[in-house]
Amino acid sequence: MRKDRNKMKNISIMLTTVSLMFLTMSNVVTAHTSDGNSANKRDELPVLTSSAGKVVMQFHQAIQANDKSKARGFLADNVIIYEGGRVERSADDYANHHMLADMKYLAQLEVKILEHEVREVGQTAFSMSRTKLTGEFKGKEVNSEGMESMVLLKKDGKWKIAHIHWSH
Amino acid sequence: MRKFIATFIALIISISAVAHDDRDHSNKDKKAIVDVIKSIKYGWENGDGLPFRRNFLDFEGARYIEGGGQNAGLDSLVEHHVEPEKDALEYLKLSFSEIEVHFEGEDKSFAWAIADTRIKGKVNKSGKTFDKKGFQTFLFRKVNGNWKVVHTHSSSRDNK
Repeated sequence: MRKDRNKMKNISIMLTTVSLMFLTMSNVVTAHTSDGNSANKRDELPVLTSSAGKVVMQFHQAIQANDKSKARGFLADNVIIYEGGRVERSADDYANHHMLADMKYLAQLEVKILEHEVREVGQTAFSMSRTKLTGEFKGKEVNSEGMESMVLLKKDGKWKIAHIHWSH
Repeated sequence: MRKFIATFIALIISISAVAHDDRDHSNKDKKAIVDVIKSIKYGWENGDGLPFRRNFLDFEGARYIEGGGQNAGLDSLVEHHVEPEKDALEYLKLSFSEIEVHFEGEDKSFAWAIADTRIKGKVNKSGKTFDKKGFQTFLFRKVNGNWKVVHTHSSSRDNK
């Protein structure tokens, strides 16, 4: 009888634990279903005072300074990068391949930012910039404009770049 | 014990219903975004500015990037790019494939969509045809229950 009672108690504890786990999960799911209509209430900050904008600028500086580790640190692990007709689907892919070519290229050129707009929307931000590239690379004169779009996500208080689209 | 099990089963069913509702909601939002992309395709192909005016959020600082250039503001995009193409091109065929939509933020009111693009057309004046492939980025915000485009970036190269 005592054995049965203990067995029942154990089953009861197990079910309660599982129920609590499901309740916790259901709270997460419910949060996702809420409809966000509060866009107008949110701040839209200019680039120099925006923390996301500072991250974009620091990322640019790290690339230009040939600092692979620092530049990699600003990218989300699963970042998707469109550049020069190809796509890279992780920070490691980019850091181990095209980032090095970008660093070599930009190290030879003068880069002037013509425009840079950053908008923060809660834990998400997007950045749009236009740059002028001048100089010489591999014996060829460079005089072009570069366009950049980015999506940044704030996780654990840090902005990470989740998507980059570069074009000329 | 039976009462407890019954309560537990009821709880599981209600949780499943909430999860199902979440999936429906996400699918509904994805469909809404894909519908906006389809209307943009129609707008480009027909030189029609209306789908852009309906689905884009016009704001100070808005930028739409394409082929190394940009249009600043919705009026510039529609009046200097979309509508003039109706007269400049004999035809324009645009396709978006491999569309991926990512929802962000606690309330999922921001989304970014990416797609592979293929653009074919014929220039009236020169008679030249073009065939390009590339990538497209769309950024969206949900405003008053509707998904609005806040930024686009398109890049393409000749399809060789």
